[in-house]
Amino acid sequence: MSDHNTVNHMIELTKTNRITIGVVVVLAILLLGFIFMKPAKYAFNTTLDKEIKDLKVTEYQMSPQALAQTILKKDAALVLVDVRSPFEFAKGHLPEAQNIYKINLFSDDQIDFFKDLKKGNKTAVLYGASAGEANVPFMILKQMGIDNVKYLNVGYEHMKSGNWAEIAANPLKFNDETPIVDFAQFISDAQKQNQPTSNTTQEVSKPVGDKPKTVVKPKAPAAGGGDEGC
Amino acid sequence: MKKRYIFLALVPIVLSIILALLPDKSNSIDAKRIAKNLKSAKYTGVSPDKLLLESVNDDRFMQPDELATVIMGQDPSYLLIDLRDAGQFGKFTLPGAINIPSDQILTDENRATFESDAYKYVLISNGTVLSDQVWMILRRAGYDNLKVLNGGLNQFYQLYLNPPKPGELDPSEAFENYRFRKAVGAHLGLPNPDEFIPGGSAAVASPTTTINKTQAVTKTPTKTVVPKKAAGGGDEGC
Repeated sequence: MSDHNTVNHMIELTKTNRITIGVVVVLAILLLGFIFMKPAKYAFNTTLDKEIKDLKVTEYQMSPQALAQTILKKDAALVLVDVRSPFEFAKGHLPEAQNIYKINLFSDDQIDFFKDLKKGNKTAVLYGASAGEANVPFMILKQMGIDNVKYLNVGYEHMKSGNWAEIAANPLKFNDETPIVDFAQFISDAQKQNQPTSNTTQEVSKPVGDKPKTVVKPKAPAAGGGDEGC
Repeated sequence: MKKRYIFLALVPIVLSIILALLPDKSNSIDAKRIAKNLKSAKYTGVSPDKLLLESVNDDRFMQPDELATVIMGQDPSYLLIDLRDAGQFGKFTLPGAINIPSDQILTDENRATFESDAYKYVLISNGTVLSDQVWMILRRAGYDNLKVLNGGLNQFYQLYLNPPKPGELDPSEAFENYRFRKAVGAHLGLPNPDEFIPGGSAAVASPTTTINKTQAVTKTPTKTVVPKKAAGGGDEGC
């Protein structure tokens, strides 16, 4: 009887042993998975709502005038960051600019560089060959919560001359979003002009037709050479 | 013995609690659909490093000439989205464009616009930067098939208002481009940049005839067509 009991006991023991071992192995695999899991190193930290509101915030743009003034004043609170390639950077860059090629934004410690600037209450001003080029790393950094960044709203070419006093005194306002010409006005003017003349197109076209004739002649034989078999 | 059972029972319980508490950072399409309030979401679509990779190349940009081809051909697979405010949109825009001001891109109804797979969306504003910023936000929110008009309306209208004239030694493509751009200008109702330039009168015929088909004849096409007739007359004149 007692013999039978111990046998049962043994069977049950080996069963649970197997289950326990199985569970421990599963846990070990999970643990290894967690250890070797590539954590999402970078994530967006602002809400989309805030980003949409920020579209209209002009403080994130830096005008060439303001930048020229800070260069003249040697303002240490602004750090210039050149996002163009090292090659272009080597050809010429703004004074005391740091080169962080936009493609390498996530390599090594570039993000830490911006975070350190934030701790030191400094603002990074990104610039590239155009406002659009600087805008890309700017938007990514801002959406990651590193909001001590601005972008220059003109390209490097515009600042190349290095004549800061002149740039600072430039009365022109640069903003990519400003319509350069009132095209609506332009189109309506053009249509107004067209309406009276449209009745007289035939008259107008005659002289127009005459003019090409003289110039076209050399071409016309080439095109219509077959026709002219006469 | 009992301890072992308790341990075995505890493992799945603990694991399920951990699973329940894991933060929702999925970037799957389902998560996008389920997310009740996309606007307050921190992260639903592309991750920052992936977004950077997507934005360092120029694939997202649509050149004015490409867009002009779409407009002229009335390609239904493109949806032009004007991101400027209603006032500016009312004054002038591109043919067929719809207005979604940049601050309303993620309202419920506008999100529905971006969810269709049938369209390629072309984001249009006065310049490039604003549309590019909107592009980045929409990519981050998980939408795709988005294009950005390079140079914006400013460059677009300027290019067709006053297309750069090809020089004598330029390849014939440059002349074809020039003629195409003039034709687009006429299509958009812009005045002809050079009504008295006698260049390539015979070849002008091809783009102008397409205009006549696609839209009501404006003054400029009729004018440019005439030299063709004149040229024909010249041939017979020999």
